[in-house]
Amino acid sequence: MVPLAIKARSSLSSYGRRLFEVLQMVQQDGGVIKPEWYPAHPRGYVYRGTAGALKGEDLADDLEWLAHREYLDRTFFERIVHCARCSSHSLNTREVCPSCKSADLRSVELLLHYRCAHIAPIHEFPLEDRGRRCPKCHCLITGLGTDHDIPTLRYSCNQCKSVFPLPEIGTVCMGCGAQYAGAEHESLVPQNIVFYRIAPLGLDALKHLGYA
Amino acid sequence: MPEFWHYFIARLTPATLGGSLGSALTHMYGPAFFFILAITTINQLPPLIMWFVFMARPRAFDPPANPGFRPLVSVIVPGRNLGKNIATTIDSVLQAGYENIEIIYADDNSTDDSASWARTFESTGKVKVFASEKHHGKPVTINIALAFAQGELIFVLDGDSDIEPGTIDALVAYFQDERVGAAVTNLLIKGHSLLTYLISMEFSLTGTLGRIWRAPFDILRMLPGPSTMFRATALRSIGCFDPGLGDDTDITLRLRKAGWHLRYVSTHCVRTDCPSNLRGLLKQRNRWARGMMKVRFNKHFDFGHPRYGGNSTLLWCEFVVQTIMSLRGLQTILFFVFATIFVRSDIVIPIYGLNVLFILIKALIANDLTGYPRFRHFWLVILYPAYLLPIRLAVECGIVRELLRIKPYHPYVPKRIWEQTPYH
Repeated sequence: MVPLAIKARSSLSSYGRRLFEVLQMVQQDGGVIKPEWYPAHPRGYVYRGTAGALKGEDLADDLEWLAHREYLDRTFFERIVHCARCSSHSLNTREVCPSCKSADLRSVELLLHYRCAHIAPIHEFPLEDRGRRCPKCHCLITGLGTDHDIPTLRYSCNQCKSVFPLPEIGTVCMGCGAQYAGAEHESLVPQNIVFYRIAPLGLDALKHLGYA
Repeated sequence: MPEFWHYFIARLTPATLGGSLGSALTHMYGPAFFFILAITTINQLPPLIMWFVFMARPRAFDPPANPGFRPLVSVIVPGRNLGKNIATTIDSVLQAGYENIEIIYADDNSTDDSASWARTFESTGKVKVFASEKHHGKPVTINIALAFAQGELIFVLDGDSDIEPGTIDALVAYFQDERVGAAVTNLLIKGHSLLTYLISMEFSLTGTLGRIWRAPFDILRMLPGPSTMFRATALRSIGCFDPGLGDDTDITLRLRKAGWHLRYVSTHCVRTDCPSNLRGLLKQRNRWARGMMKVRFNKHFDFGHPRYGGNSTLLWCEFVVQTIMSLRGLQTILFFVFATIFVRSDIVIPIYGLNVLFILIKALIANDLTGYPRFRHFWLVILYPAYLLPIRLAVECGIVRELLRIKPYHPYVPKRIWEQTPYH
């Protein structure tokens, strides 16, 4: 393909003219165009045109064409993951049960009594006027860190009734319902989102055709 | 030799140190002679009888038949700074051949990558990892893991121990009897040095042989920390572990007091780590002796009360006799080390030889019953009495220290917990 910059302005095709307009728009916007989050779009973000005939249009393909030919430079902006099955970016990540992958979890604080090493959910230590009473040794517990501690949370699953110290991270695709947990997350498709900056070749092209 | 030493040694005769072994030999048929005869009988006779039983009925010590009892077993592995070793332990459990298990690795605030190694097994779906943000000590760490355990049976396995295939099946078989609260396996030592072979021989001659004859009478003295299976209801009914030294002796006595029966599997073994040098070994034995005294003397001195059963009373009597014997033993050791060994080699050498003979008999019995110690290690019986000497001294020092309550703190449990616990 013949580089844009060596063609005369009048000899450009309509697509070529559009690309120059995109370049010009980027330069007029400070030399940089950033993505805009747009959840309704299948990709999750758009590069919206800001001037003239391009106003409101998604310019992602044009920008990528120009970046591929080094009229624009790419700079990392964000990473987004897509569903491996339907490519949707609409993914819901939450804590799930390691056994049955249900998100129907509850957690409770475990209390450790130093004197007798009794450990149980905090509600099993009856509350009294001056503190809590240990059900094992029947001593009064008063000072956190002095005579007792809260070493951890205990999670339990309301579906399969399993208990565990740490829930797993699970992801469900809001588009197709695919579930990902643990190592399955590796099958999600990551994509880097970039912002585009005018490159020296882009500036030359604009200057050569009298846009700059 | 300076005149002082002549004077000193001249008075260090067996007669002047009456009550010691030398005195017993000098005054043959005196009280000390019968005392030593009784101790020798206690040590030698029961294993010998069990050996005869074994020869008459070779399957007498096998675990009971288990046609289909396969409850969920929660394997609790407490550990601290075990590094890659934890992977070996967890792998040995996964390869043990028992399918219905969950493994809970409870990390006691390790400063290395132990928890990361354990987490590599989470993808099996059978391993849960709890990493504590504070150092709590072993008993508390086990209790935390118990809060996540869902098994009907709880198998507490040290993080530096590996189990043989079939061990869990053999242990589970005993729990078909609803009265059984805990069961233990053989313990062996990992490693290939002279010291580890001697420790392994000691475990076989004292631990294994002792348990073989004690188990049928339900008078097991201790459920060893590295490998004991508990019935979850039994453990929870007594409030799980208490903090402090001697947690294994403590849990044994509390289960016994609660009326649970204790069993022993002689057909399978767990291999555990041990200190790699003599200094570490002596410190470990000193700690064991202190823990044992703290628990039996300070906390559970009433365990021999008839309301806990005749076997508990028998154990209590044995404990009292053994404590007295230990103190007498200290006197004997001091006598031999400081006097006899220099001036009465005519006594020392035959007694040493007699000791070696007794040990050889026990080694033969142990080998026939369990396969350990191996025949290729039998030559170590010559060194065995000499190996026991410093260990006995470390144990005696621990006992005396506890009896006199000298510096009771031990870092086995963090100070913030220690200060709150009774029975120092």
